[in-house]
Amino acid sequence: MSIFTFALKENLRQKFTLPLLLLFPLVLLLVPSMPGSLPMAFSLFGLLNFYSAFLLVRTVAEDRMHGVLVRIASSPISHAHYLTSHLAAGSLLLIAQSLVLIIASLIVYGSNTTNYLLLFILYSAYSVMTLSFSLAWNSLFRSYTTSFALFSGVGSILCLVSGLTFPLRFLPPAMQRLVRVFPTYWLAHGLASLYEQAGASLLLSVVILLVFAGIFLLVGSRRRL
Amino acid sequence: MDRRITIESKHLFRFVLVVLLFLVFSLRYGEMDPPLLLVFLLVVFSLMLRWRFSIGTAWMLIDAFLLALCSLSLPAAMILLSLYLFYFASHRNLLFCIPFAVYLAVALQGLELLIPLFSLLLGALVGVWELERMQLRKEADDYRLRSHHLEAETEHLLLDYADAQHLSRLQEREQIAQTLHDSLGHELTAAHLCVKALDMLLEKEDIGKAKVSREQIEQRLSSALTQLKLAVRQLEPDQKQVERSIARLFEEFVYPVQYTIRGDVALVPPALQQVLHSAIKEALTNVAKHAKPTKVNASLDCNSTLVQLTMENDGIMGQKSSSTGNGLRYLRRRVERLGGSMSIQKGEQFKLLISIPVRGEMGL
Repeated sequence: MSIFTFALKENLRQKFTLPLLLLFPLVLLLVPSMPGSLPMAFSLFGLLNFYSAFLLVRTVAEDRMHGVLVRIASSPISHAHYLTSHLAAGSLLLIAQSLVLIIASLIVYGSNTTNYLLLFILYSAYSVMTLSFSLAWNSLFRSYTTSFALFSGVGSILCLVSGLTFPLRFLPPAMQRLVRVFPTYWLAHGLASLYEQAGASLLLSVVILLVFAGIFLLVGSRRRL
Repeated sequence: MDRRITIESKHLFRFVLVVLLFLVFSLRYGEMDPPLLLVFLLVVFSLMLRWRFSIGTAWMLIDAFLLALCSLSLPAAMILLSLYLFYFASHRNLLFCIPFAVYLAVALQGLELLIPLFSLLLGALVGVWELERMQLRKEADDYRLRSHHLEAETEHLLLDYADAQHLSRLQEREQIAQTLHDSLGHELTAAHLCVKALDMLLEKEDIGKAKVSREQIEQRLSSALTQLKLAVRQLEPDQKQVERSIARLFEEFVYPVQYTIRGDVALVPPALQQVLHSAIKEALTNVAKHAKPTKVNASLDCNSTLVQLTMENDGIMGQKSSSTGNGLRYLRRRVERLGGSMSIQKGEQFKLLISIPVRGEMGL
């Protein structure tokens, strides 16, 4: 069995994974929409995706914390291979989660609501970013419990101020400028661009999300035994 | 163990880089629209890539060149080149700095020029510091290597010394055997022949000749006894020589030494005598190097089971370091090789205590 298949199975074996991937995106569609923007489910999905990514990185974090990485280091498997396999498995599941939401939205809201292909691209970039953020975040802690406890606070605040749980226009202007440094903001920005059909702005959001992902990957991919 | 706080140049490099990033970000915060933020993030990515992977400095030229190109259409991003100036300067590639420094000097105005200048200066300082540290580390490594070689040499010398002891003991035995053969052998053989002759004469009941033979036997045995005494006297070492040599060490020392020698040093095995001599010499050298004593006390106790040397002095100069010098360290090793122990007490007074059990053979 390849590491990729193993990581996929390990992730699916966790009891919250399947409801998070298949059920919760559908629940989001029940949230009422606000006028002047895309349905709230689209931005709230950012929060769901963020937490899902954190749970999917759990296997990598626990491998390090339980010393499995030391055994892997002594085997002929390179750290890069191990990490890319796990990240590919995680990304696949997160992309599948966004596909579930997109297909359900297509049925609920109809095909005229937005460009679903661009939405899918945006969500894919966002998924890669959340996965690498979770990896970087977990690399800072020795215990997954502590890491999760702090993340649940920080992650919620990040999503709250970035315009994922409520529209950004409700925030003070100074705050609106400040939140640009948060990676989660760029999903909200991308969704707004999608609503306004501003292609260049949407592309910028996707690129920024990918650059953020790259930076977090550089931090998170350090081999700490 | 001494715990020293050291600041590695790479930590300083990262710290300064973060400070510069923060400085540049806060300077351009007002103009931080999405394109500028993207450029800023790309610069962070480019710097972090070098932090994670070891990539040649020359490759950074491409990043800096692309940024310079980008700054033509996005002038606010120009200040970010300061980070590359810092990077090149800290990696001691001042030549790479020149085109970007000239570009910034022409394009930037007023106080903003201070940032690239500051970055260049800081980078050069970090670079020089790193160079200095590298040289120091190299020197320290060289010293460690030499010390390692020295220790290996000492090990060899100690082993050679043990071999020499063994050889000299064999030679001594050979000499004893030769002396006994030369001096005693002839007389005892002659006496043995006379005893056989005496037996034959007694069997023939030739009493007159038997008496002559008995006298000859007496003469031979008496002569053998005399020669044995002479040989023993020749072989016996000068028992007082070691004691005199030790006493001379104490008496000829630059500071007055009050010493006592109890027991018979001559009874101590030669290997142990030599270590004792070296120990006293090393201890006295130590006193002369590290102290200005008003009194130096020494006592040497020798008995059939243990030899104990105690030396004490006051007037210690300089820091009371807990580490031991090379001389004492090697001495400890020699003492331990003989199954003994050496302890040092440091306080107002310096006290050296050496105990070595007396064995028939060297405890190697």
